[in-house]
Amino acid sequence: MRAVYKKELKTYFLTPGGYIFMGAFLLIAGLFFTLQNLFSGSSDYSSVLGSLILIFLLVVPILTMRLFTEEKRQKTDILLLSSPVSIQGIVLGKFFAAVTVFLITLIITMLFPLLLSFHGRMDWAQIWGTYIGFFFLGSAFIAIGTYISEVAESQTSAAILTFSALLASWIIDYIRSFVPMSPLSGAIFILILLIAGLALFQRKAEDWRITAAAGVVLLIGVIIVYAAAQESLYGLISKSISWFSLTSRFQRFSMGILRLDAVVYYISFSAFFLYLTGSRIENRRWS
Amino acid sequence: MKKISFKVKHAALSVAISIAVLVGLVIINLLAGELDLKFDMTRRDLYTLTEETRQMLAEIEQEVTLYYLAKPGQENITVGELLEQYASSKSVRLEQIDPDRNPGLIARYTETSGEGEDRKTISTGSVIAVSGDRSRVIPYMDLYNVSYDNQGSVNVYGFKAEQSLSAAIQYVATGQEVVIYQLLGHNEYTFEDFGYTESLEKSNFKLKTLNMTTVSSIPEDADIVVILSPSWDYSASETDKLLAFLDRGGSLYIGLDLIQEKIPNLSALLTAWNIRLDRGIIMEQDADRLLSEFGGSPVVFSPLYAGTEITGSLTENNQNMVLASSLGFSAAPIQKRNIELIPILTSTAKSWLRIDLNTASESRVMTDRPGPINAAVGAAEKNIETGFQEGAKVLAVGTASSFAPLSGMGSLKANYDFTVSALGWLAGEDKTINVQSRSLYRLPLQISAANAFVYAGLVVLVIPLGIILVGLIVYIRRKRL
Repeated sequence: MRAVYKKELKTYFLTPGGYIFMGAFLLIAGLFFTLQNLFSGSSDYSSVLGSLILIFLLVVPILTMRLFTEEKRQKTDILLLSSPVSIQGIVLGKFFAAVTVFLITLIITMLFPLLLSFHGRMDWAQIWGTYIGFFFLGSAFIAIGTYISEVAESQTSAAILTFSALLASWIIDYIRSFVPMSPLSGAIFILILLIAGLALFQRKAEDWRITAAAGVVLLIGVIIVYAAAQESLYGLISKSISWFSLTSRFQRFSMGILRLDAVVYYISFSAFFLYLTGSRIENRRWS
Repeated sequence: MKKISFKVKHAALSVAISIAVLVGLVIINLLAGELDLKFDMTRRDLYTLTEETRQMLAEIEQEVTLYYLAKPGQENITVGELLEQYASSKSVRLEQIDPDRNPGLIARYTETSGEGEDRKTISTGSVIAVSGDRSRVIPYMDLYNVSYDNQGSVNVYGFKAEQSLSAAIQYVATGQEVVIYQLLGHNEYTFEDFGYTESLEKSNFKLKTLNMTTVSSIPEDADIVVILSPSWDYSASETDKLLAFLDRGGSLYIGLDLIQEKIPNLSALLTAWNIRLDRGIIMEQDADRLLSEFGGSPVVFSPLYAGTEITGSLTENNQNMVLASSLGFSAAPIQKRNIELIPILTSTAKSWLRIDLNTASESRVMTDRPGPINAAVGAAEKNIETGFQEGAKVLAVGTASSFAPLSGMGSLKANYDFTVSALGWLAGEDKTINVQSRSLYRLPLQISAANAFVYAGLVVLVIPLGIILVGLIVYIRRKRL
């Protein structure tokens, strides 16, 4: 893992990618900081970090788009897969290299509150808390980008897909208030998820009879749940969005609350996407 | 029987492993949620219950249910954080209610939130505290300190959810209220004239009125007696009744205004409590304490807070009271040892007390008494051995009419907050839950335009462009290799 990590980190600083990410991130962060703090005379830096989530949508694709697509383009992925490094080692090495670049950028932004501290009283504990949340949120976004870079065929498509995925994760919080609440909509929501799962299964299994049989069993299960425990399906979409939402958990950090469950959630979210990335590479290796 | 193909087996295994990983992660998350380990990093512990609330929750015996009106997944995180902490107490049960699905429940409590035509709807985001037959609605807007500017836009400057929720829980669980008798018969104001009634009732104060001429003594259930701007003096027998009330541990809030005739009996009552009423008007000269809205008039000013618990919340929230034509108070010549005199609101050293009220000059004259002058003082009985305040208390304010609503401006929020705090102090800790609202106010930066521009140049131009330039150099050099 260490060798992949070192090589990947080196690549970031020997190619324009790492510098473009850092430059773009710091430019937009600097603009937000200037407008919200310097020119408004406000000492509330945590809310600036909160607004910076928007930057992720734009810059994370720059950071992650080439992680695996570049290997595929140069055909070095075959070399990498035949090397003595484990697949999880490759995925983690690449992921941690991207996270390191992100962390360095974040450390540079710490200059901002330091500048403010010369001119007003800062809530340091709250700022640290927000930074911790910001780091974990960024890492989760990078994990999504890592996975997409494995799925996508080219850097451009990886960038566009990552941007779309992050945009969706950001927008979903806003549409939460408008989603239907009825138990029927909850049941339909479960069905859609199951159909998506079955489609993935069918793609691998290539046996529509087993897929259909599994579908029928799951459909009966959903009907039973709907008939027997209808009340538990009420507001399911909204509750699921709220529980899975990356950005709503970050709100607590920017409010100044450091919660273990939020940290665990971000780590497990990242772990799940890295697991998906690894298992996809594994499949590719054997196919 | 047909054999299951390798692909199906592989797909099933792959799906099973993915589900197992997902379930494992969900379990880890649920366990982490169960641990409920969190740190409130805010400077003012915005989301942590105070010791007063914790103690109150530990003492209540009857179960209290808090209904939080919010659609699933659309809860307010800030309020939710605090409600969760209440729910961790053994005597509080939290239930989230979707307002659209439970109109019956809401209608039941809507009836108790007002009477007749005053009946109000309960907005989403509100909390209903219920215990036995008692209930109280805490509207969403009562969870925050808000003020309205001249354009009507709302400015949220404080978070008072704990204040409102704890008062509601204490009331529904114990039924305990602080009984306030407002004296009538001398053309006094009441809190109703100030528009304070509803808010005071939500803070567990039960307001009653009393005409002193019709009773032989202050009723037994009285905790606090309030006198607001009498137009003439109280008789000696009336002040005797008040002194007897204070002797048995009651508390007195007295708000005065300048009137033509002197008020020797009330003055004597105050003197008995170490307070001397100085007949004169406080005139402020410090530009920082004068108000442009009142044309910079020296008789209208924002007093300084003397650092008592009564004004702690006002200081924290950076709220300025406004006093107009206030009388002054000083220490009585003879000070009783068992009574502690406490300055609460004062004017600055640049102010003075205008004794000769026939003088029209807006500058200081010979007969004026130099500042600072007390505009509000408290006097509390104390245990001489321990030094702690025990028993009766008196609080005197040099202007009562400043608390009346101003035309076009309404009641001043800071003046109202002061009154609630003052009444809470008079009632004592065992009778009220005295939780201060948490300020959301942040001191603005003291930064010059030049500095701001230098920093802006650094963070917007120098650093990002510098990094991109380094990247460009690295890229060009590598290309040449």
